[in-house]
Amino acid sequence: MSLGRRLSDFGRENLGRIVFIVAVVLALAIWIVHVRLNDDGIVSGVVLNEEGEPVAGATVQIREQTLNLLKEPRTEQTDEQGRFVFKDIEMIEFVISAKLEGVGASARPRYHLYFMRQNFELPEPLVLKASS
Amino acid sequence: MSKRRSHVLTHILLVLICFLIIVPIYWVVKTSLTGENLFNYPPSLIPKDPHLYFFVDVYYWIPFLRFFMNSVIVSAIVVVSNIIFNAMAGFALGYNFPGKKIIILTYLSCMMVPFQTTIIPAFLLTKYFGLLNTHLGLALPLVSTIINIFVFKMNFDAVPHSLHDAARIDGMADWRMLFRIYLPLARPAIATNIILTFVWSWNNFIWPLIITQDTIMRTLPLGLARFLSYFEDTSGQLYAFVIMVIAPIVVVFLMNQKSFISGMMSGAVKG
Amino acid sequence: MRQVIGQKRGRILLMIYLFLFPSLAIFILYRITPIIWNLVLSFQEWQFIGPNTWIGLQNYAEMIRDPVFWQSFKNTLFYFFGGTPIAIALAVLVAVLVNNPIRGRNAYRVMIFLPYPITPVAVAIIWQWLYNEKVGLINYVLRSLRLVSDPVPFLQSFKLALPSVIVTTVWQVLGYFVIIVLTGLQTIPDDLYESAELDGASRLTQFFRITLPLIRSTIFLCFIVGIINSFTVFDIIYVMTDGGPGHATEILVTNIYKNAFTFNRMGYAAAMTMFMFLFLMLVTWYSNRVSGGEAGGVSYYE
Repeated sequence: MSLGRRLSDFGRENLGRIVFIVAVVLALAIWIVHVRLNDDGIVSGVVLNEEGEPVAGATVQIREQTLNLLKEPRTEQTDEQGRFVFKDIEMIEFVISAKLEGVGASARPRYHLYFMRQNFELPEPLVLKASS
Repeated sequence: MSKRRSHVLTHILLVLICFLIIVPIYWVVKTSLTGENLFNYPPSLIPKDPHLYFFVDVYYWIPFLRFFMNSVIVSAIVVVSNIIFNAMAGFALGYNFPGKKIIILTYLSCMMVPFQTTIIPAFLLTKYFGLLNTHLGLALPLVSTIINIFVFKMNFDAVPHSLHDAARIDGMADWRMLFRIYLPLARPAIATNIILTFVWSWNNFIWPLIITQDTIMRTLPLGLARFLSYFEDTSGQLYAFVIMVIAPIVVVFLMNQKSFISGMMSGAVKG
Repeated sequence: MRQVIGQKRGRILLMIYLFLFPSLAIFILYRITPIIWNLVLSFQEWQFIGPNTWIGLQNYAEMIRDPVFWQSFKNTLFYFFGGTPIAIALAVLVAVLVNNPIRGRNAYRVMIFLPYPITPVAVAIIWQWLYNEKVGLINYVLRSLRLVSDPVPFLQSFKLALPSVIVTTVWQVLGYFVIIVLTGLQTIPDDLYESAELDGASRLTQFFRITLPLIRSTIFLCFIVGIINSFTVFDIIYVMTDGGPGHATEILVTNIYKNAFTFNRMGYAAAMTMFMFLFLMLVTWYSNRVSGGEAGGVSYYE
């Protein structure tokens, strides 16, 4: 049997498996490309006060959530638009919070990333509430 | 089917049995996706808020990729060398040669020595070869299996002599015939070889347990067993790890059900 | 058989021996040498670091007096007698069901066989959690059905630990036995059933009078498979209970492993290995004699 004929027989018998393997390899490739394109470790978000206005100069703290709780947190300040940006974050799971003297403190939501150094924009703003 | 029989009862019973068999697997999959039922009681039956974070954790908490590669490398060595060595031996056994009886007797008696009775000397041997904690050392005891030799032998014996004689007349050397004629005709035997040896080496636990000394050289089953002792007893990550360990084999099984079942049925002799 | 004749006779002979060499070498190294080594080791006392001292039959004497050894042997036997008959009986039942010409036969077969290739370590971890007394599914079901009032500590109780492990093993191994029995069932010609049907025999009678007698050798094969594997299981027990509680689930192999690699008593472990090996030899030889063929050395999982 010629090589061409043998290959086409093989293809027909194993079509399902070939499709599956190709799909898996493709998915893997796409995932790796996605990770490579988005792994700058940038965590960013915005801090608002209770009226919904951006708060400048608030201190935002990000702390890694691991079994080993001795890791040092990192802090950043928000700019005039209330935005903050952390660079080179190498945490898979972290707790983030914001506070400003005289205005209040925010909740401490926990977030879990899908890969190390994933670029992450907080889905919700950190709202400073005056402590009562 | 000349007679129409009511198979409703059969179906009901089979569904019940399959349900009982699948429930543990479903339970693990569910827990790896949601982490419920680890500490709360009563357990819920449908997954709520599934997420993939446990899998991400496993990937970063332990050198998962390294464990996976260890398993892959060892299995690759085992599978490939099995095919080559077993085919060679099965082919050679197709001839009449002096000493054949003794050699077959040797093979058959080795078949009766289970691996578990050899662990102490095998460990010492590997140590003296300097292969402790290496991929080769992990693979070496599994590198040839007797049942598979006979699988090849039976397959080769079924090839008509005329092919062999014709090739000989054409001047082809006998050893070449193995690769040019017999192996291409032996696809079921090769499939059986691959399946049996892959499953044994991927699932192998006691040998890596004895042989590996560094964490970095562990294979997946060993890493899984040790995960329990590093982290808390029950955690979503543990079950995500379970899924990650069994997924390759289950996928391979589902993709090749027929060959798998008939392959494992060829006695699945240990060794 | 192919003949080694002709001008190239020498070359062909060389090829044959060369081809046999790799596998033979592996087996001599890893199967035959270990037996002799075990034998020699069993007469010595060796702590792995340090010299080995020749102590003759002392290891065996100690073994005979060792309650842990006998417990592990007993457990192994119990493991076999408890697990294999149940597994075979269930397998026959399931195989008979699956053998019917129904739709979805293949799907059933696949699902029943599915647990078999799963890594035993994973199986142990899964079932360990099912048996958990606080949050395990089994306790939940038992309590919901009001069969028990307090949670049952399956793997922590002296009485229930070994049966629990047996149930896990049956779960995994059932598919394998089912396929063996199915293969045996398929050798029974249909007309036997048809003529029995014409004679008015009920399905139950057909089962007991036709099916069972004709698969006797298949069932025997399952028993041999079962005993060889009851003696060589390790993964599931080591991960699920590690021989505990106490030595309730200690089997021969875990005992040997602990003596060799945890207590470093190589000689003693080798003596126990010799015992296990000789016992299995006996079983295989006996089964070969009874079945009159190559029934030896078949293992059912791993």
